[in-house]
Order: sequence, then structure tokens, then C-alpha cells
Amino acid sequence: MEEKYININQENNLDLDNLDTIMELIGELLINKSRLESLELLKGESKDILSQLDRVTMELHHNIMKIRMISISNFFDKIKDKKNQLADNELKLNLYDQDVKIDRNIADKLLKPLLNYFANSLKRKDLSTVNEAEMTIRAHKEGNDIEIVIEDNWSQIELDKVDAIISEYDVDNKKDLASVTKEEKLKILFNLREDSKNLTKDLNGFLKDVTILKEELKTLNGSVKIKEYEKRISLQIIIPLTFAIAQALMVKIKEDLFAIPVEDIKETKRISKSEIKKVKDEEVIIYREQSIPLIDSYKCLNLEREADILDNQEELEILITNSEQKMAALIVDELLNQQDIVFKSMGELLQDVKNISGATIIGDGEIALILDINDII
Amino acid sequence: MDKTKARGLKEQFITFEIGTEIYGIELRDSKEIILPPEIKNVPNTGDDIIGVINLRGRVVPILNFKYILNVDTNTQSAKKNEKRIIITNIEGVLAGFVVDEMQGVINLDSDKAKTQDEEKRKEKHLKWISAEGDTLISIIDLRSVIESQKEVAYD
Repeated sequence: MEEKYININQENNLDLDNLDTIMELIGELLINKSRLESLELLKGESKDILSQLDRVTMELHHNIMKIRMISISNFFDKIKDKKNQLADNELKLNLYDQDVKIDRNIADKLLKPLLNYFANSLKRKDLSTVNEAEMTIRAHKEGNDIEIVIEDNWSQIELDKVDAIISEYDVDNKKDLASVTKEEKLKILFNLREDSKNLTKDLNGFLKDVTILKEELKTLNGSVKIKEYEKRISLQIIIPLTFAIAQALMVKIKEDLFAIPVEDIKETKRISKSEIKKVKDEEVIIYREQSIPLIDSYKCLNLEREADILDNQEELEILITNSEQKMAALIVDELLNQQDIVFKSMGELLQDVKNISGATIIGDGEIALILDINDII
Repeated sequence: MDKTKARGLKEQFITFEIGTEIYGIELRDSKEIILPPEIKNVPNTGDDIIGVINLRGRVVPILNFKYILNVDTNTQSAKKNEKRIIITNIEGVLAGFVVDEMQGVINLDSDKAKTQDEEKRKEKHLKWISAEGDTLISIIDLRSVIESQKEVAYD
């Protein structure tokens, strides 16, 4: 039977391409407005005009954004439809949307992978251990992202099985598995699944489904994580609310400009060389009574330093990253201003570049690359 | 219009120099030809990517055709001011590449194609080779270039 997906946007008769073009034009308008401001030529009455222009562009942007947003409950309806379509009467499906709104474009692109995952996961349903199959999907807003958590009561992970797979395939990573946390084990397993396509010992097809989903979400800048709680697995999907304008901190690394989304930064600091400690060959600093790793941006970007930074400088500019539970300190050459940036993809050919999530165009037309803090850590 | 044969075998190509050789692409695959703007280097990519440019608000990757097509890089073209960037649109994927000098637009007949041995042709992403008088024009298989670039992961 041919799978049928219903396009969310068709029903509203809205041309997304046109909307995208308008968004891009507004982005350009914003960039040119800040160019005008930076000229500082305007005085008196002309300054008023500029602030009017500022207000109009902002309102324009705000309203277009509102048109782009739809309630995620529309989206959940499609999951219900799919359930009916599959005529699955055994399943108890709980959906909690909490009135989250999501960009139409993103909702559109997310729908197919998610429905695929949903259908596949129903196929894996095993009623030998539970009385009633139950799946819960929850969506909630988390900063500029939407988090969708999918939990069912039949996907199980037996950790001793996981250990066996890891020790069989992960030859380079000879860690003492007894000291590795469950979450980390799942992470290793997940990466393994990506590296070695010939991983045969699949956990009931679960990892395969998750890998497909992850692959499909890449174009949306989304990420997928698996978590384990009392042997049950939950899947956590994080996608941006919109390709909107975000606040970013501009930094300089080897004479080049980079942008880091403000939400990824906890704090910026200047530290002295003496604050750097060495723990097991790793450089760390003490931050709020915790030791956190010190990461060099040059290393992340494969750039060569002319001289060892520790030899030449007494003080270092660092920023403390604010990424999930894990904190790290990133060394950059110079911390610059904060500004609004419009997120731009570098196109299909460059969507997987390590440690870089995209690009943005700043006032004078120069391109600044956006650092992917989650990738770096 | 009359010059185009009814059978539609003759197609329009734009031709250009890369290194010392002459290459061509189908005219309909090209979006525009621009003077090279500042190219931003993208860390963690390979020799096949020169960087990205700002094309009126869009970020477009610039491919290194000298590397991808295996052009002899020792023969640097001296004509620096003649360099152009050709922006192509292959099924919605925008990309650009630098050429050393533009030649022009010509009609070519793919029936008269001279093909190198299959192995070499595939490796260099060439579709066919046309002989116009003394000059050989290698027609680049842009779809094959873009498809193989999509496969490259920079993780």
C-alpha cells in the first residue's frame, strides 16, 4: 500500500516558498537597516526616520513570524490519523501538545520522518511483557527549541546486551564499561550504529529507526537523543522553533568572525593562565566549584596556532557553554558585540560540517559562520 | 531559433577555461555568472570546498573544480582579472565554481561527441568531449559532481 502523507500546509492554502522569500527579504531589510545605523550619518529628523524604519521592520518581521507559526496540535492530529490508518486498536496513545506553536515549514518537514518512526515503532510492539501497549508523545518549548519526547512501554534496552555490543564493536574505545553511565553507553551505542552500518545485533530494530529519524532531521538542524529510565527507552527530539532571528555573540578566531547563539552561552570570562589545571592530560578550569574542560576553538575548527597560546598570553578570553548538563570553557581570541543574526543554511552540500551549524550575514555583507556548541562539546 | 535542429540534438553550452583546458556546462544549468566576491573559508571541510559566498543574502558554497575535476594545478592561469564564478542550480541545489576565463555560449551536437575511455570519464565527472576544430571542450557532468558532493560528510 502506498503511504500517504498529508501536507499540513496545503490545507491552509499557503504558499511556503513565497513566505520563505518574504522572510529572506525581511532579513536583508534588517541587515541594511543596521548598515544604515552603523554609518552614524543621520542626525535630528533623519534619526527619527531611522527609528520609524526600525519599528516597521521589526513589526513586519514579527507578523510574518506569526503567519508562519501553527499549533503543534495540528501536527498531533496527523499522528492520530496515522494510528487510525494503521487500524491499531491495541495502542493507547497519549498526546500532550501544551499549545506549542511551530514554524509551518519545520512542521512540514518533520511530519514524514516522525510518522515513519511512529509506524515503525508500532511494528516493534511486543505485548508479551505488558498488558496494554501505550505510547506517550509530549511536546514542550525549551528556549528557542521544541522538545518532543516519545515514550512507549515496549521498547526496552537490556544493558548487559548493550555492554556486549559495545565491547564487540567499539574497539578503539576500551573504556571500563562498569564505570560508564547508562546514558553514555547509549550514546556510544548510538554513534556505533552510525559508524558501522554492519552492526547486526540491532536492539529490535530500535536503533535503526532512530538512526533513520536522526538522518532525516539533519536538514532541520534537529537532534535526537535516546534516554533510558528503568529499562524503558525514551526518545528525545529537539528541533528549532523556527529559522528565526536569534541573538548571537560575535567572536574572533584567527582573524575570522564567528557567531555563537546567546542561548548556548552561560557566561563570558577572562581567566589567567594560572587558573588552568591539568587533570589526566586534559586541561580544565574550576568554574562554580566544578572542574570543566577547557576547549580550544582553534582545535575545533582545525586551525593552526602560530604559537602556543599559553606561552604568549597571560590571560585568555573564554566563554562558558550552556549546553544541557555538560559545561565547558571555550577559548576564543576576542569577544565582540552581541547582535541579531538571521540563521542561513549553507545549502545541502555543506549541511554536515563539523562544529558549524550554519552561517549568517552581518552588516557589511560579510559572512560569519555559526558555531555549533552542542557539536563542539 | 532556426539554427537549432528540429531533432533537438544541438544544445546550448557555456564554455570557459580552467587551468589550460576548456570546459563547458549546459546553459540551462547555470543561474548566473558573477565577478568573484570575497570567499569565506569554511573550516573542517576538504580540498573540494573553497568556501562560501554571499549571493544577495544567500549563502552559496563554492566548489573547487580544479580539485574535483583533477585539473593540473601547476598550470596556473595568469589571467587573474578574468576569473569569474559560475553559479549553478542543479535540482534546487545552488553551488558555484571559479573559472579562469569565460569563453562564450555555443551550440554543440552531442552526436559528434568524442568520449574518452569510460573509466577516465567517470572519475573526472565529464559527460562527453566535443571537438570543435582544433579545440577539445570537455562537458562537465554537473549532476554527477553535485551528487557526489552530497555524499561527502565533513564530520
